[in-house]
Amino acid sequence: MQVVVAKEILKVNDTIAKENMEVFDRNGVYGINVLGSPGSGKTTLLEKLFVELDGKIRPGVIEGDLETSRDAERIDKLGVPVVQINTGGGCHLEANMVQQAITSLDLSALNTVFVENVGNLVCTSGYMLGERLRFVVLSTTEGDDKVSKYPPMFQRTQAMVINKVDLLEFTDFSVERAIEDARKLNPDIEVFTISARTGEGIPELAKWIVGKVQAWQGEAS
Amino acid sequence: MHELGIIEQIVQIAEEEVEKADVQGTVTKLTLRVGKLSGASPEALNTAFEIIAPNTTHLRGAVLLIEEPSAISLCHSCGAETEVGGFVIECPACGSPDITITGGRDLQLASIDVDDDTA
Repeated sequence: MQVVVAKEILKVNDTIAKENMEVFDRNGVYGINVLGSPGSGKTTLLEKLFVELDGKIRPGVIEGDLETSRDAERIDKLGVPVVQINTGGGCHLEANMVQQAITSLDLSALNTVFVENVGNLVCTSGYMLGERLRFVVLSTTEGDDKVSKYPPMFQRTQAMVINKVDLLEFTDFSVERAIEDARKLNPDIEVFTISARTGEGIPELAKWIVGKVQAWQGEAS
Repeated sequence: MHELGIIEQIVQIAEEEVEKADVQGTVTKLTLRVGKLSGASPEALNTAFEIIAPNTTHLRGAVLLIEEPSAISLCHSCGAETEVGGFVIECPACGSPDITITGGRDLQLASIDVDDDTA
């Protein structure tokens, strides 16, 4: 005897992601999924962004890592509400983890939630979490070939943030090649070249994010 | 790591389905459809299943059969429909980037086989 099941496994995640988005919507919160390799500079970028965005948006953060609350402690120092998820070995965040984490945030005090995913260019791209915007941080020290080597990540994101441009002269990274490869995969991808360390390019990225949040608020109201 | 979570979900769904169907026999086989573009590795799924299955109620004696459907690249320039085994950004026939990829992303628990004679 055969029992036909025909159930899509990722649909379970997608269903919860949709519920998360509904919770965000009800509270007037815009979700952003921040992706990128370990060490690409995601947390440092968020730190700089929150200084730049002070008074312009009301952010909260969900931090995803295998272990430790180090990232959450860094964000907490800036006075931004933050929740740490430890996946305990899991290589990506899933919607149910975010669903749990949301309950620890006072959403009524926020209008934007940044979810900093586990550092990973592979499977994080396949899991929706409830976000309306995604961007991937790619640092110059990783090499421009990462765009072509990890295509789903660059295909399923609205923006590529090239970080550590202050180190360009010490690397073989070609910004032009990275952009060309990314546009082949995703013709509409936005590109920002920044240095989270020196602050270069942060105002432009911050402005784009504020624009996205405001455009969404305009549509929602 | 990734595959372990996928198998945990598959096992959970399978156990629920077996209980729902009030199956009396032994579950002998789970059939999965793991598309070439799903990002999941069949080898790693098998390994994860071997770790998890012995600790389940209904799936202790079951084996995993994994089907791997290909993706189809449909070209809007030359009209070619080409089966592709991996990630492509242009039509394998004419090189046009104006393509739509259909299928190949399945990650599905397709069916559960039960040996009724052991009831």
